[in-house]
Amino acid sequence: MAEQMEIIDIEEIMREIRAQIAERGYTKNELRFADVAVAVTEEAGDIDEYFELQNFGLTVDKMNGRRTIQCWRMLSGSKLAVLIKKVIRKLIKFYVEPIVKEQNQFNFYTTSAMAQLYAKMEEEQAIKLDEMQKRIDLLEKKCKALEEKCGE
Amino acid sequence: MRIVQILPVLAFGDAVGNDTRALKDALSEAGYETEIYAAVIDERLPAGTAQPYDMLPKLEDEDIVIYHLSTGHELNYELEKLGGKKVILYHNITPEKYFKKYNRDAFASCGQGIKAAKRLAKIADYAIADSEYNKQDLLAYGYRCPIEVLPILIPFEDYAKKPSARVLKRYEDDYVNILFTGRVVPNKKQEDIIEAFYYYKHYINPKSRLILVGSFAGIDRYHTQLEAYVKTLGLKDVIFTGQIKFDEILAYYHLADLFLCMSEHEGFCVPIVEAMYFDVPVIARATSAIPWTLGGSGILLKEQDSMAAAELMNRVLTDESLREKVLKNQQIRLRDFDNGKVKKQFLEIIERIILTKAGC
Repeated sequence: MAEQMEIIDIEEIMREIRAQIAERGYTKNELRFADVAVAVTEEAGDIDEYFELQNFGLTVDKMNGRRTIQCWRMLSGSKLAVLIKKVIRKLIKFYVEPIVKEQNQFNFYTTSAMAQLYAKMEEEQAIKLDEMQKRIDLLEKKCKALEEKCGE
Repeated sequence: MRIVQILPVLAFGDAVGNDTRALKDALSEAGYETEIYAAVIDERLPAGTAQPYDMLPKLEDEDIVIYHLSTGHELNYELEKLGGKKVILYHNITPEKYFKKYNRDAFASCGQGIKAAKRLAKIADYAIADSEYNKQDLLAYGYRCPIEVLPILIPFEDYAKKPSARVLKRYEDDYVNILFTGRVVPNKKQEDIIEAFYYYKHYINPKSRLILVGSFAGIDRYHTQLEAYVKTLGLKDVIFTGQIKFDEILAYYHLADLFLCMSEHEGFCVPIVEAMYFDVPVIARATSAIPWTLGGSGILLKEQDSMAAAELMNRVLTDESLREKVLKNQQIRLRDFDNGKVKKQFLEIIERIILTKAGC
């Protein structure tokens, strides 16, 4: 006769556990894993190495959303640290601002070029799809005609 | 009559690869003419384990083709062009939603795989599913041919090999070791294991360690996010081993005090059976194939509650009587996966397939 498993009253165990949870005074972890995703920067991710038109369009949208680099950003830290950072920022402003301006100009032209390329590819795809649909319609018509002829 | 097994990728050390090779051995021992054909063969495998798919000879009506379906691949569409009886051996395909944020290739591959699985329903003469859960998937995909459930053939004799002394020495201390083994992929929900461990370590037992054994190659974004999660929680003693050698995996099982699985989707979950073999109590989320694989043993967690999981871990680790019951039940269930038993079931299925007419 096959050996029987021991019965474990898991419902009872879970009831006891819920009571223990109340006793232990847990503080719920407010940090959700999905929220950590915001901290993961895209440059840490994998670059797509294949082409797909819709994805290309999404990437161009993202480029457009991020093309302007800001020179100024909030400083954080203790009062003394913030003061020191402000001084340093003022001192290097003359050097950094022109570089950021040039980068923004470059970003504008590259994003523009990509957006134009995407628009062109979308247009070409629409034309191809239209031609293919016309061809399908024609072939279906011919098939129907042949079927009717064979039916005779 | 020949029996050929075909699969897109014959990998070294993964469940599907091991299963394929074990089935080949079973067929050879039973006197069948058999071979494995794969589009990609891992070069770490011994020479002669398999042949390239291009070398597949023309198959006759009486031949049997066992196609291992576990992912999207162009080979999924080659099967209908072949002769012989078509047997789909379904290992399950992870729903693509899990990869959408992390890896578009995997997302597309899984989506294509599921489409192919539905398409293959039309040509399958027979199907074998690793679990009852996988069988239900096939039925939902429209399979009307006979479907049999056959557990994965697990090479238990390999687990008797010597574990890594270096790993044993490193972690053999008075810490409680919580283990999960499996690729670091979103459907295995390593973040939920981490959260449960967070509560366990902070509120119950600071002298504890979480060991996540498994490769994170290909889904690096997910692994990066998990590492960031651990760091943001301020959690110590969480180890991501990455891909490691077999003797090191054995060592981690030897060190483990508890196996915690929070997967949302598994087609079988070989690591659960491995934990049973090493007499490590298993707590696992009651999803997909896991309840079937546990078969009434281990402890199933029906709630998505990390605090409850932490308390349950503590209960199993400290309540000796409960722990003994869990381990006893696991040993009883383990017998159902005995190599000899599963091989016998497989060969009986083959005999039934031989009698089946093609084109059912």
